[in-house]
Amino acid sequence: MKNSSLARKTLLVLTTVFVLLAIATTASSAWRTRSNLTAEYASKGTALANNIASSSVELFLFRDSSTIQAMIDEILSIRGVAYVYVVDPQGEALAHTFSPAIPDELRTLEGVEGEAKIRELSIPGFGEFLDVSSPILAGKIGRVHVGMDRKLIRDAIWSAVAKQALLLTPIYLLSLLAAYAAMQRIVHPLNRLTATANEVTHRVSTSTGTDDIDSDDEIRIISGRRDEIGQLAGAFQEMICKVASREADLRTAHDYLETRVVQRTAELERANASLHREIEVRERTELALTRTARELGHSNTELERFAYIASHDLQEPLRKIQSFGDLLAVSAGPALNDTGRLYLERMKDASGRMRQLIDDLLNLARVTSKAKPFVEVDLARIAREVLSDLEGRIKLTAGHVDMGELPTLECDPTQMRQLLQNLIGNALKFHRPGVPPIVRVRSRLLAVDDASENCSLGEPTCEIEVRDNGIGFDEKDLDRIFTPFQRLHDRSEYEGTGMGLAICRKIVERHGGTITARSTPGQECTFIVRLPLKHPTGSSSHS
Amino acid sequence: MNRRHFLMRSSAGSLAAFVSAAGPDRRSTAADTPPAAPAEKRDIVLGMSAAFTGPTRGLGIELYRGTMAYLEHVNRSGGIGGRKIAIKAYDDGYNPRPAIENTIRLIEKDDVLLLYGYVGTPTVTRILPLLKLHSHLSMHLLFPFTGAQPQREPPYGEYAYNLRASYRQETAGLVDRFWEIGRKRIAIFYQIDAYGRSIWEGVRIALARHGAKIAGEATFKRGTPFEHDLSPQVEILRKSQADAIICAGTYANCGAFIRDVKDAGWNVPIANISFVGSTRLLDLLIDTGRARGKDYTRNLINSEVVPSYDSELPAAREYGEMMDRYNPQLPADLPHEDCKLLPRSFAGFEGFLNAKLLVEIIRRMGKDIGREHLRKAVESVDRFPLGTGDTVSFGKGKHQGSDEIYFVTVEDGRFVPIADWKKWSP
Repeated sequence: MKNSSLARKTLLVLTTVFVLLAIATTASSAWRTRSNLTAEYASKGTALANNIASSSVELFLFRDSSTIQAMIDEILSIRGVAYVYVVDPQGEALAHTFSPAIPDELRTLEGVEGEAKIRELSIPGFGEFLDVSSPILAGKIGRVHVGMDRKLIRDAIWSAVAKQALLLTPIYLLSLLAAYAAMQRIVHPLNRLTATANEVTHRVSTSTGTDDIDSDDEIRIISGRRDEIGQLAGAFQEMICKVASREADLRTAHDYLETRVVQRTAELERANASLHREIEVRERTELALTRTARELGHSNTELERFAYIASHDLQEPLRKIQSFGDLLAVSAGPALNDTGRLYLERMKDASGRMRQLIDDLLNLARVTSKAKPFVEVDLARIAREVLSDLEGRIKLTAGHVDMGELPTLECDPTQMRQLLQNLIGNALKFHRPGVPPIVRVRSRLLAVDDASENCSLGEPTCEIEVRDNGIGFDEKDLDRIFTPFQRLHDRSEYEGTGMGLAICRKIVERHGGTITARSTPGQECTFIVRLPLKHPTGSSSHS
Repeated sequence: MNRRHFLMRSSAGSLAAFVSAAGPDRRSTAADTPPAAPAEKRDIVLGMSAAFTGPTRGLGIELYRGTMAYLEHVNRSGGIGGRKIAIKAYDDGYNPRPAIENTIRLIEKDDVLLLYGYVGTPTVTRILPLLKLHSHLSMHLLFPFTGAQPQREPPYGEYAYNLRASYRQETAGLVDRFWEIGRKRIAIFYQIDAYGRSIWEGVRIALARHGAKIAGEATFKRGTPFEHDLSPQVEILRKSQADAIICAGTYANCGAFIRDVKDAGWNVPIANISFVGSTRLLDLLIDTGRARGKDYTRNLINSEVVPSYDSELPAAREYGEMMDRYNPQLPADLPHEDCKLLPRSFAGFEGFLNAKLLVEIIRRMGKDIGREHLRKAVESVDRFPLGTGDTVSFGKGKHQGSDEIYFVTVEDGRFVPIADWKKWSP
C-alpha cells in the first residue's frame, strides 16, 4: 500500500480518532480513579488519624513514646500511609516516621482544633501527600498528622491509564488491521486501474498499440465486484475498449492514408515524369513550331507582300486595258460588227471582274498590312453605319435587318465595320428567290467556360450571331466558305469574288477570335463570331 | 585481643555436630527415666524469637550462641534435675509481625516454659500484649535484648523480667557524661521505630533534666544495610552544630553512619547504645578501615549493660572458655544466611549471663518446673552474683535485675573501659 495517500489518509484519520478516543476515555478513567482514590484516601486517612488521636491519649498519659512509635509504625504499614507525625501543642514532635528528618513543611504546618482537617501537601524530596490532621484530646496533648501518599493515587491513575492503553492497543491494532485490509480492497484495485491507465497513456503517447490492454484479467475480476470500485473498473474497462477500438480505427485510417499517399506519390512521380517528357516534347515541338511559324510567317509575309505587290502592280496594266478598252469602244465601236462589239464588251467585263478580284485580294492583304491599332469601339455605332451603307440593298431586296444590342470592345474599327458589312451583306445577298431576307443580329457575353474553347485563355468574350433565312449551305462545305476565292454558287446566280468570308475570317483571327457557321440548307444560315472584349497590352498585334 | 574469626556456613556437618553434641547425653538421661515419659516431654523448652536473618541477624545469632554456650555446659553436666534445657528458636528478622506470629506459635504450639532472648524493641513492644492475653498461662518474657520502657512499665511490665539496664539509664548515663565534659549540643541519629523512639525519649528526658533540648535529629529506616549512603543524615546533624551524637541503631546502619561521618571529615564523638552489637560494629569498622586505609574507630563511645567480655572477670573467663569449648552453632531448622560467627562479643556475653541467671531461676523452681512457679522463682533472686563483680536482684515490682552501665571506647582495635571522659572535652 506504499505511495497510497488514500490509505495513509484513512489510517491517519483512524489513528487520530483512536488517539482522541483513547485520550478521552483514559482521561475520564484517570479522573475517576483520581477522585475516587482521593476520596477513599481522605476518609482512610481521617479514620486513621482519629484512631491514633484517640489511642494516643492513654499512651501519652501512661506510656512512653516508643509505644506510640510502635503504634504509628504499625499504621505506616497500611497501604497508602506515607507518614505519621505526632506533635505536642508546642510543636515538639512526639513521634514520627520520617527519615532522615521531619520536613520543614510539616513542622511549620499550623495546628487544628475540633474536627480532622485535610490538606494537600507537597514536600520536595518526599513527595505529594494528603495530610489529615486530627487533634489529640481537643489539641491539649497535641495532634496527629497522617500523610496519605498521593503517589499511590498517581500510580493507580497510571495503572488505570496503562490498563486502558493495554485494552485499547489491541483494539487499535485490530481496527488498523481491518482498515488496512479494507484499504487494500480499495487501494489495490485503484492502483491496478491507475497502472493500467498509465500504461494506456504511455502506449497512446508512444503509439505502441492498446489492443491487448483490455485483456487484463485482474481488472475483469475487479469489475466483477458489486460495489463502486466494481463500477469504476467496469466503466474503466469499457473506456479502454473504446480507446482501443478508436485507436484501431485511427490506425486503419492512418495506414490507409499512408498507402494512399504512397500510391499518389508514385502516381505523381510517374505523372511528373511523363509531364517532364511531354514538356520536353512540347518544348521541342514548340521550338519546331516556332521555327515553322517563323518560317510560315516569313513565307506568308513574302506571300502577302507578293500578293499586294502583284495585285497593286496588276492594277496598272489592268487600268490600261480598261482605259484602252474604253477608248477602243469609243473610237472603233461603231466600226465593229456585233461580234466585235460583243468581244469588246466581254473583254470589258473580264477586266472589270479582274479589277474586282484584285481589289478584293488587296483588301485581304490589307487586313494585316494596313492594320490599325485596337481601340475601344461601340459596336452598335459601327452597326448603325453599316446599316446606313446597306440601306439601298435592303430596300432593293425588301429585306429587314433586326439589330440587337451590341457590346463595346477593343478592336480595329475599320475592320470591324468591314466584318459586319460582309456578314450582313452576305445575309442580304444569299436570300432565297422570292423570299425577302430577314437578318437578325444578336450578341451575348459568354461565360468563361464557353469562351475558353475557342478564344484566348480566360478573356471575357462576346458572341455575335448573324442569322438569316436565306439559302444556307451544306455544312460539309463549312471549310470552303472561309477559303479565298472559293464559291459555292455560280457567278451567274450570285455575284461576288468569293473573298468576303475569307476576309472576315482573317479579321476575326487578327482580333484573336473565331468564326464559324451552321446552316440548314434552303432555310437558314447563322454565322457565329466570338471576339474577346479586351486585348492584353502588347497583344494587339498583327497575326 | 585474640581475634579469631570463623566464617560459618550452613552445612549438614555443623548441624550434625550440634545435634550430636546435645543428643547422646539426652538419650542416656532418658534411658534412666521411666519410659512413660517421652524424652521430649522431659526437656525444658524455652521459646526464642530473634533476628537470625537480615542486617540485624548478628545480634540474634550471638545472643543465641552465648546462651547456648552456657546451656550446653549445664546440659552436659546433667541438666537441671536430669532435664536438659532446649531452646526453640524462630527467626523474626527483627520485624514485629513475624515476632508476633512466632510468639503465638511458641505459646500455643510449642508449649514453652517461658519466652527468652527476644531481640529488639519494635518486636518486643509488639508481643507484650500477647503475654497479657495469655496471662492465665502465666507466660513470661525473660531477659529481652532491649532496654526499652514498655516491658518495664505498666501495663505489660509485670509479664517481663529484664536483666539489663534500661535505655533510659544508658542514655541518661551518656547525656550526663557528655554534659559534664561540656558537650551540651547533643544530637541523635536514630532508627525510626519503637527502639529509636525509646532512645530518643531517653535522650530527651535526660537533656530536659539539664534544661536542654535535643540539638538535632536524623532518622533512618530499620534494616538499612551497611552499604547504604547515610550522608544526608550526616549533613542534617552537622547543620545542627552538634558536638556529640548518640546513635540508636544496630551495627550495620550505625557502622554506615560512623563511616559517613568520618568520611565527611567530622570528628564529633559518637556514642552507641548496647543494642548496637558493639563487637560486630567494631569488626565492620576495622574491616572497612583496613580496606580503605583509614581509621574509623576514633572518638567512638559505647554504653554497655555487661562488662567487657575479655576482662579478667570470672564470668568473662567462663564465657570465653565455654565458647571455645562448645563453639555453639545455630539450630538446623532456622534459615541460614552467611554470617561471620564471633568467638566473643558483648551480645554473646549478655546471652551467656542471661543463661546463667535463667538456669539459676529454673533451678530455684526445684522439682516443680512450671510457668506458674516462675514468678516466685525469679523474685526470689536477691543479690545473686553472676561473676561480673555485681549482683542481680529481683523482687515484687522489681523486674530489672541490673542497673549497671559500662562505658567503653576503642583503643588499638579493641574495646576498653573509658578511664577518663575529659579526653573528649571540646
